Amino acid sequence: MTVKQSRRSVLKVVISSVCSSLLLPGCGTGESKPENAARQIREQLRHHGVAAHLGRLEVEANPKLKSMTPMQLTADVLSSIDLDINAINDAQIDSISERISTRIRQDFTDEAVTTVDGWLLSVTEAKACALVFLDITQSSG
Amino acid sequence: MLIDSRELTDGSSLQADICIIGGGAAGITIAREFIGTNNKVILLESGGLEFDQQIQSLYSGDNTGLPSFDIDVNRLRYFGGTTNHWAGHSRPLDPIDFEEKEWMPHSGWPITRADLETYYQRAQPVLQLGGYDYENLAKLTRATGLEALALDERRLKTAVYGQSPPTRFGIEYRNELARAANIQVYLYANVLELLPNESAVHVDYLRVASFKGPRFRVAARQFILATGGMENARLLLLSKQFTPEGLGNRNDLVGRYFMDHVLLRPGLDVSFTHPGLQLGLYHALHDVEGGKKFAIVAATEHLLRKERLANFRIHLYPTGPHYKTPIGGIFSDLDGFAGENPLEKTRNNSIAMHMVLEPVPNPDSRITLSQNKLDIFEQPKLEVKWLVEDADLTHAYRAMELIALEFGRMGLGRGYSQLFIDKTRWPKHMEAGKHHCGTTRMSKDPKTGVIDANCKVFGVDNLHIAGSSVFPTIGYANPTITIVALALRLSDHLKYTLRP
Repeated sequence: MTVKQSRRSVLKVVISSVCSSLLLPGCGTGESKPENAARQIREQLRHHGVAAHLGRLEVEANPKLKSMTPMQLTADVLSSIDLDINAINDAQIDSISERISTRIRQDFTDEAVTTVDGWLLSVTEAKACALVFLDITQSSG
Repeated sequence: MLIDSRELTDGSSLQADICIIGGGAAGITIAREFIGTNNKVILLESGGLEFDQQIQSLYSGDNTGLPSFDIDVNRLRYFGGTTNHWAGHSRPLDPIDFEEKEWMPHSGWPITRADLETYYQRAQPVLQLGGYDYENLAKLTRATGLEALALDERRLKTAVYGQSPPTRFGIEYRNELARAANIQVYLYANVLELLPNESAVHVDYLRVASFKGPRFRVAARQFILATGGMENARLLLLSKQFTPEGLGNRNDLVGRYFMDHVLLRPGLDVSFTHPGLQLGLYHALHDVEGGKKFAIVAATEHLLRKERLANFRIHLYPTGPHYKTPIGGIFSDLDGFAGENPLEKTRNNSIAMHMVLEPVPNPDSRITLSQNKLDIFEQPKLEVKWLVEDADLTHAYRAMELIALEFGRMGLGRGYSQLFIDKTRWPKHMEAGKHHCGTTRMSKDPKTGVIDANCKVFGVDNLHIAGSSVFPTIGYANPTITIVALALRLSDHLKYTLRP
């Protein structure tokens, strides 16, 4: 299956990159805090093409992920770093990167890992990849 | 004295106190130990001083086991034996390697690491290894100024490995043996058979032949078989007079339990996410107190006992940016290096983890005599069936998983392995380590081994065996230093046995 990135997705990545460079999270695009949190998670992954590839494989291997929407998966990832998607604030959004980094290290310690395409990944980063994949496919209509 | 057997008179009879069969690491070590003693020693070497393809062809045989085992390329049949092309990696076996482990069938030596300790120390100068510092990592890090990885010390450790120049025994010790008045080294002397007395409890003499040359016999008070991990067993199996099953083979153990290290090169590629990661301690050689050393990553005893694993080691080699996709850098940010792309920061962005795994002893992995192929002396050639077990695959998978977990935990990178794609089969590049062991295994009981703790063949009062064929288990370490240590120990035992 080939991952197609929609123009909207590409635009989002471009916008987020520009906004990142200006240190303006959200950048007044009108996105909600949960959407902002989801974007923060996705943006932990540098190469979205690769992330989507791994995410697709993870989703295909995990039926539970397949039935999730991007927001449900975002809530799941946030929950694993002790954040509530329904009550998340700006300061917590700013802490996502550090929290995820800590969570991933802990995943490796706890052996909360999965193998994807020959890579041993933490379950959290595998979900982040899945989020990239779901975001691309489910938003591309 | 070096003697060319081709110049002997056909039908000659030679006599010695000790006859050593084989001029490799074990045989030469034992011969050197007797220099200047009152014992007359004859060392019989099949080859000459240089490689000769015709002599080498005596090692040819058939492989009926795993295709990744190459019977013809591992060994060398001339003076110095396989040390003529060994790599020089050296480290004693770990204490746990000698133990009988309930999770590893057929494991356990009748001696301990402590029994070999002084011999390991004596082996150090024989192999030109410098100081005996295998447990002193701090000395290596101090001497180099390089740091070891911050491994979870309950699971993994950085261990010190020695690097011999490597010592080419046939060159390094040739003159010393040539000058020794009581040592006679016969070149081009192929032992065809060991001839015991009628009850097969004592070897009377050897039947020896030179290719296109004379046939002769050698009698001695003590015989030492030191022809390597496969040929030791073959010679016993060829010695059928009064023992149709082969000498020392009453319990059908000679040739069984044939082992070799399982190699995956690489077993794991770690694409590292830390741009400043330095691994020089592991992949470069360092001069420390007159010898060269480097570091490896190995399992701890705690891990082996807790998870009931076979022993293993990992070599770390930087490989450069060989990935064509940016997958190596994908997770850099998640390890806390936001904005850093290691692909742009360093050339050495991945590490090939070469795994060396201890195999589980397997009686069905064995060498036998060919039913229909003969060598140039009309003797049956070898047939080798090297097998590994499902347990070995399980151990390999877990070893690679542990390393990948550890690099993830340390925030240094992510591991890729073909085993992570399919854990049910070996990657195609799995290979044997070229360390042939186990075919005349040491044991406390003749029902489970061919030789006793003194390396004497059970039931034969004057036949000893030296070399890696005596190892009942092999840990992860390269065998040469243990071969030499055991040869030194056997020499001490024989000196005691032959005392006036």
